[in-house]
Amino acid sequence: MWWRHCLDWALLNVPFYLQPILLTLSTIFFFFFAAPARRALVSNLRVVFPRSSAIANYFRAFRTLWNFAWTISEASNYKLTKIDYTYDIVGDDLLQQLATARGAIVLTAHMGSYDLGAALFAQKFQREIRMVRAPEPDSSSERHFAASLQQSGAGGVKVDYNTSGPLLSFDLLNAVRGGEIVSIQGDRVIPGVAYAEGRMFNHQISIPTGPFTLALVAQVPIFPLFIVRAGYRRYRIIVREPIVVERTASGRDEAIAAAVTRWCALLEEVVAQYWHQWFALLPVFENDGSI
Amino acid sequence: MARSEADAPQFYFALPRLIAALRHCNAARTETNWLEANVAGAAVMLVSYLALDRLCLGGAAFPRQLLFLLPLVLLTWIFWIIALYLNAQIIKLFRSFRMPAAVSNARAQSLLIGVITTGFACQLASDPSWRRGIGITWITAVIANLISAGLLAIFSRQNAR
Repeated sequence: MWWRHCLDWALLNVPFYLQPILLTLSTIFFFFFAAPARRALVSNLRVVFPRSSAIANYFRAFRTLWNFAWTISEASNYKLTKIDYTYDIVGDDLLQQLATARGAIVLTAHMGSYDLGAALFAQKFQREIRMVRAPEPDSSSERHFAASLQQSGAGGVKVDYNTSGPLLSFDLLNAVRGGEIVSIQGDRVIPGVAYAEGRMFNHQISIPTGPFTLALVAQVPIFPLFIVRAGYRRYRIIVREPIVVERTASGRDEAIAAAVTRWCALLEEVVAQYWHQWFALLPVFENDGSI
Repeated sequence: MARSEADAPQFYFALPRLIAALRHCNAARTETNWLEANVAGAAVMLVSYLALDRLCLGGAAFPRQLLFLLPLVLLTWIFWIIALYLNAQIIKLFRSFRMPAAVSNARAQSLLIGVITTGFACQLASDPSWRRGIGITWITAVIANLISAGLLAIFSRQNAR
């Protein structure tokens, strides 16, 4: 939590040209001291790059952490100073579809700047977006984050926590049926959340089924969307073809399983390209002994 | 969020902005240039690292300098964290004496950082070794930038009339 206050102070007081080098030095510091995150990154990268050496994966883990530092920093910078970013869109017509949809689910991953993206989407399209996420381990850090998100999105981003229990499901269903957009990260499960088994990079991975169940019940499309950092103050918004979850003759579970399989294939494709921005700071693959 | 890049400002420092102005491009200040952000910051760190290296290790042999490479990088980092904090206190003091509000804290810090780094560069410039070149390069860049800033201010006043 203290580091978030330091970051906010630095963004307001340190000249922009000192920020990159100080950020890099800070990343080196955290890389050595944040051992659990480092180990998780290396473990996940070992799956993405099975034929790669351990040293190469440690360098990749550092690069991922460095990108993580940049996205946090730039999201905070936007909150504090409303600085300009440039962005390009892959799937512009799909983004327009999403912006005008009467109820939709945005399915994303712990990738790039999902926080900044939500805030910018809300501002650009003047649409409220409800972001479902796991709370930060530290309550004061969570309060700081929630306040930051509110400030960045000018009130257009609402945060719901996936630890809120079954009532959250009904809230989200009402929201989506009411025409709102709900954003959920679909690359990690937390204890107590319903999940299904998927496969990525020939390894088993647990995927939360909440987004797919919600899409099935509410009969709204799921838009896979990722916001990756494309350079200094530049971002790329990637929108893929919507996943439509429809009940078939085989039943509800099969419909959800098919959607999960499709999501896993898509996520694998995006992670293979943007592995350096997949901020999976916890192990996500089931360890079958090969990791 | 995004703007047309056709005539967008491209530089922060006065020298490239002067060149842009002479080429009839947008000479307004911007902080979006990644090259400036990385090169200027790296230059500040390099000059201060070399100055601290000279201060701490003097004319030590190369193997000894290599041994102390990482500790000196850490020392440089810590130096700047402390310097930025002390600068912030100085700026707070100046604001109590009614320093113009139009000068942001970051710009005021930039001025103080420039002074500190130029001080380091002067120390390097008196060194008989290859470090002298680094010091002189920094001092030359600062002088060129200051002259460019002056010229831009004159052009700006002329255009305003």
